[in-house]
Amino acid sequence: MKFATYSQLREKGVLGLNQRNVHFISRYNARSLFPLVDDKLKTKLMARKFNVNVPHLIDTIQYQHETRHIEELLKGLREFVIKPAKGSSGKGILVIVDRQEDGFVKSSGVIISLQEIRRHVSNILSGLFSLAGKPDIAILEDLIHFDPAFQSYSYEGVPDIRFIVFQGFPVLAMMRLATHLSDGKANLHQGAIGVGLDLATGKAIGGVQFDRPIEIHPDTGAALKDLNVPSWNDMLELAAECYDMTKLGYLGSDIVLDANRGPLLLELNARPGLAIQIANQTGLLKRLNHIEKGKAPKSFTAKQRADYALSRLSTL
Amino acid sequence: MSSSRPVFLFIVLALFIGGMAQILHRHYTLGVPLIPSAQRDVWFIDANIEFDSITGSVTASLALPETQTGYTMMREDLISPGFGVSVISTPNHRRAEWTIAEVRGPQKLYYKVQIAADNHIVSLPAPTSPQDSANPPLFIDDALQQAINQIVIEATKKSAGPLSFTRQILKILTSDPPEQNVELLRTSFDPTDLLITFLTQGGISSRHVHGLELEDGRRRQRLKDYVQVYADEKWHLFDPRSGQEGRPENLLIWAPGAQSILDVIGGRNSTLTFSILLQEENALKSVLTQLDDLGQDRFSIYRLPLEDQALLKGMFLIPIGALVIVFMRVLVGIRTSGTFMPVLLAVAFIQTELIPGLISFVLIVGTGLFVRSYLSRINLLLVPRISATIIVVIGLTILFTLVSEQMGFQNVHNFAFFPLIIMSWTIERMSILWEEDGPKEVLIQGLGSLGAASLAYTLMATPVIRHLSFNFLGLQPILLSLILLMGQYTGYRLTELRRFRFLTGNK
Repeated sequence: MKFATYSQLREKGVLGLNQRNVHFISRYNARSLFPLVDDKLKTKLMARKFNVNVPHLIDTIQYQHETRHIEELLKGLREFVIKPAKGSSGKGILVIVDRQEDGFVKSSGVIISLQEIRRHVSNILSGLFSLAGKPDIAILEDLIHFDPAFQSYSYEGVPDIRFIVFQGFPVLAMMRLATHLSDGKANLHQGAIGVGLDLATGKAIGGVQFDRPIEIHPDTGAALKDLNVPSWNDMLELAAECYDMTKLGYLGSDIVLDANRGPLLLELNARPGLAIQIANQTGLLKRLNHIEKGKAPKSFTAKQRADYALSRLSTL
Repeated sequence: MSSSRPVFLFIVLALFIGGMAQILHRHYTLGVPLIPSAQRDVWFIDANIEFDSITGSVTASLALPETQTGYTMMREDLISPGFGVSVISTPNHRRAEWTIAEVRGPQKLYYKVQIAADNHIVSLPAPTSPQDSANPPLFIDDALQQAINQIVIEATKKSAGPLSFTRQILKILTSDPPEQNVELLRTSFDPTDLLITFLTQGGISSRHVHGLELEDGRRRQRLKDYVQVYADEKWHLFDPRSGQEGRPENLLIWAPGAQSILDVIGGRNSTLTFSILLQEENALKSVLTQLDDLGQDRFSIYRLPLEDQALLKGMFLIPIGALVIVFMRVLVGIRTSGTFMPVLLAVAFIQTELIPGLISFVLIVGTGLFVRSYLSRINLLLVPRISATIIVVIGLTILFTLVSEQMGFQNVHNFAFFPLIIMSWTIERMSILWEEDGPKEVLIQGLGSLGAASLAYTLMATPVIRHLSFNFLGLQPILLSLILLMGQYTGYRLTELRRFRFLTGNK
């Protein structure tokens, strides 16, 4: 069968784009809050204020003339990440994993010179990677060492976990794995794999690539169903905290698990996509409606909301 | 938001009903047809006046017809070699007057009129109430007067009002075989005068009117006499010869309320005959002419100068395109490059025709993408990059125009119809899309855009839709209400039924 029927989707509680836009985003996400999540630097600074863990910010580069002194900024850094504050779809992210005599080693193994880094930063500042080509700021931050549990599941990129957080309650979770096709980026529409995660345990439910079910990582050959995310309670709590921080009622929180520092907030999204439903083999609406009808107390703290998601929402 | 829902629905409903009412009003009251090819019958009537001039100075005066139930006056012309012509309006009717100071011998004058046969009445004036002096009394001797009195008394007994009285009288007058004194009356008097005399005796307001039987291809037709009886604030028509009541089909009442139809002062042997032709005319054209003549159509775009009309006509089609886009995006879920780019593309297609337009567009954008791939390699900022693309597009437009001219194609100016800035932005977006999401996504969005544009074009070029949007401004609020409704649609898109197909357990 090539098409699902309308009533089948309704029965499964699938959230469609129209309903997401009209009913959830425009109702729960105030327009004025969007810049907080569209600019990664703002998100980072806000997270620091609210004591939410993020990858450590080393420095920012705002003006072209600063690129001339970039070697002073990088002095003593063996590994780091440079990314545009307003970049979209993982564009313009430069990951340096080591430093050698002849230059900097990228995550792909290619060695680049200081001059090339300088040009990359210059491109970021002139808006090459930002939406609509607006001038941007380059962020220099710590490299994330992702948890060894994910080693066999990622191809060249950092796997992160996307939570849909509704009014502070995490409702669905999905791990996003980079593939060769997605060019090391964790974006589903570019070919990354989404693995639905059981809200109660952090264990894999099923995988999806290009909206189709998939069982094995095409590049590493790892069975997706064996994926198991450690520190699950902490991750849920971190996802829930993002609501207190932004006040965005319908939010996508992208969280990475650092081997040393634990869960870190990578970025936020005010218009999270819907493929997460396919990865989880379930629709969003049941859980969203449960919360919207006021069945879950509003006065809960982030910790209580995470627990509620773990014990109650996961059973819906 | 939920509290404003009734208000929202009220606005949508008001827009829809308001638009619908305007359309129905224009159709049913003013007679503007709903389809462009609608035809309606138009009678071309020539009144020929012939007379011999005897004194030299002549004044001829003809009572003119008026718009009435079933017949709408359109155009009239007075033709008269050498005569001075004027139309004089009296409270009850209009008259045409021909005057000349010196003419001798047989003369011919023409009054030509076009009358549309339909049931649309444009503000028909209230019927004039009867005037008592209207009926000249017949000269009747005592014996006949007695017979008349007897018949009147008999009819009054059996009747309950003006109309039933008239029916009774007609029954007696037209009975076969007739009574003796009725026969006497019938041989002595004209049936019309006779009926009016009876009605006057019975105290009933009536008048003598003239009717023209409309029949295609008739020549030298004459007016027939009828009697109208005033009752219930209306005039009712009776045929004094047959006794038939009500207006026969295809009967045009000529100048009701006129004392006389034709007066010729200074001439003799005057005759009035009619020739009649029936033609089908484009209903829209004839309605517009008629509305314009009557000054009824103040809100029609046809009153504007032609140049402004063309501009507005194009504008009125854009909401159709917008509706298509809303439908395609919200209900179908098709992705297009640039939200309203397909509408503007469809507008251009109207000039170029669909297939040549599609070919020209693909040629320019395809070549533009090729050139743009070089621009992206030299790392330009956004605004300079698009500016450069604009100039490239202009260059390509000129190049393709010249090349197709050399190759002997027609419509070489096809390329120039596409909006320059839209083309440049399309190239820019497609190019970024190509770099970010690959050629597959470019193909999907490109085909989506062209598909939406083709659908919008197909609707915008459909004669019925063009006709409706030009002639019925009420279509616009209806479109607006539909768009508002779709704006609140929160159900699944067609493409989502496919996207989420693996969620239902079907593989």
